[in-house]
Amino acid sequence: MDVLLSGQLLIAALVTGSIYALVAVGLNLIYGTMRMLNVAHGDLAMIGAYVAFWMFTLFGLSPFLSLFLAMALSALLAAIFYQFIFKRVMASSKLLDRAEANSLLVFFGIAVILQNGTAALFTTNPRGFQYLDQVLQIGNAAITANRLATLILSLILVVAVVAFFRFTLVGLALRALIQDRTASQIVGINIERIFLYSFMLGFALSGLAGGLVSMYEQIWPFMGFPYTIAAFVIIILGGLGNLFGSLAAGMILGVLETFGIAITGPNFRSILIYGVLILVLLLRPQGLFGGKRVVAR
Amino acid sequence: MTDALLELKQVSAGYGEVKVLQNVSLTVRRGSITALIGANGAGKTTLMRVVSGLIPVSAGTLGFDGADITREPSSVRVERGISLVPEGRLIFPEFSVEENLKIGAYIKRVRGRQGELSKQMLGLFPRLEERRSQAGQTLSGGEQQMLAIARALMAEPRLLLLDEPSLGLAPQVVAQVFEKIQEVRAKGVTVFIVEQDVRSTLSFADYAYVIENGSLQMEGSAESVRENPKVKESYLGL
Ligand SMILES: Nc1ncnc2c1ncn2[C@@H]1O[C@H](COP(=O)(O)OP(=O)(O)OP(=O)(O)O)[C@@H](O)[C@H]1O
Ligand SMILES: [Mg+2]
Repeated sequence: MDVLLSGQLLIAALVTGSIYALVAVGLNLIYGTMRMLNVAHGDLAMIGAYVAFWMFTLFGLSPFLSLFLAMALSALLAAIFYQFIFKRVMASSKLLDRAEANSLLVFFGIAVILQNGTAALFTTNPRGFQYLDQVLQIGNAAITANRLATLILSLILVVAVVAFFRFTLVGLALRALIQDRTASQIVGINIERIFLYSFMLGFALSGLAGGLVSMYEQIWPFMGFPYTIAAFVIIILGGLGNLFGSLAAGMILGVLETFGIAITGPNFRSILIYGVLILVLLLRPQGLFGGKRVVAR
Repeated sequence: MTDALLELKQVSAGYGEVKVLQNVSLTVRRGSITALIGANGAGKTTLMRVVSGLIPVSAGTLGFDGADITREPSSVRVERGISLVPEGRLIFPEFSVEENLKIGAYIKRVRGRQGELSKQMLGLFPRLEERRSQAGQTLSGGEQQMLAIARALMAEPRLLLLDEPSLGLAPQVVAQVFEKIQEVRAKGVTVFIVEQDVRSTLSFADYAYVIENGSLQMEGSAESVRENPKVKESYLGL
């Protein structure tokens, strides 16, 4: 019981939660604007993690700098996938009716390629590096410096993302597009450009989260899948298309998972997460926040 | 410079296999209120969507202010000055009245003056002023219609397309909406309107087209169309 109250777990929960928030908000952004489910979303975190790992191992580059590289690479991948694959998936009105289903298959293919490509290049051995791993004492809670840095950075990023959606014109356009595609065209939003932006931003946030994770966790080519699953649960929990909801739901899932595992044991992680998913689907399919809306087409 | 602001030549369009418009040619003159009349399913909304760039033409050309806009996406057309008040309003349900107005001034041409334009619109529609921080979906139908019109005007259009602005509104509100439309025209905006309320529309329009099954059947000054026996029978219930 002491562990539960020590503050130790709360910090761990917030670290997990803020990472989840970053990964999930990108997934929800892509779903919201394009109605496409990116089942490769967590794999971008894996890519970001490898970028940070190699930059540190090969060049001694601080992960805080390689985060930018991880974001840039993820965004570049997003731009390439969008231009060469998804634009075509959505091109004709005939394909558009099946865009959702087709995109799911394409993303699935991308996930397989990213995972196995990474495995082929770098083996499936778990890897890690030591950076800022001294233990800090905060009150009666002990935390490694890299986790603390992750927590602070990702909270700042979450706030930055909120501010971006709230206060910028592109943020406004993104939120408009989530609500109504035709209405967005009517007010003169170049929706293809906004699709591209949401792809790039969503991927970049996932890559960034992966870079942060690599500082304190072992990485391997298949580390992305649990993040994908968590992100799916979160966007259901926070409401499909509800960006602010997924930020909050990310924190909530982080807390539920961390405390849940402390009480039950690490083997229960999946059960806990799927349990949350099933509960939400049964009790509040529209998500915890906001009204009755389940995003329409 | 010609008299025509909008010019459709031999336009055909539809939805995939479904062909709706066939060889439609029409002109909307600068500064006019031009009406498009037709029965349900005649293709009026389709025509509005074609003009605003929401669906492509399968044949024919669209000209706006002398430029060929046939292949231009909707975003470019709004930038040029074509704004649509769509059937069913399509305001953003989760945005407040203010945000709905703000997004109306998204295009570059007016972006910088978004605050000033919002103020103008709230002055033009006092009802919206009272509701400015309320979410779009919580507005009444009439208020939503006002908002849809205000949102279109935020882009300072030269051509305002109106698709059934009176749909679902109480008679007094309809009268108000029609008044606003005439105010807008008085400020130099050209209006192209689709309306179920044919009698009122023809009383303030200058010119009218009648569409049946995707083709134009008749055109003329609003007066002459109003006096046409077929129009009287089919659309005015006389
Ligand atoms: N998305 C669509 N897909 C396929 N067919 C459509 C679609 N929208 C409209 N149609 C068809 O196109 C035809 C013209 O429709 P349109 O909406 O343009 O009519 P309208 O003149 O605006 O009618 P109303 O007065 O009822 O609004 C109709 O036969 C309709 O069934
Ligand atoms: Mg219609």
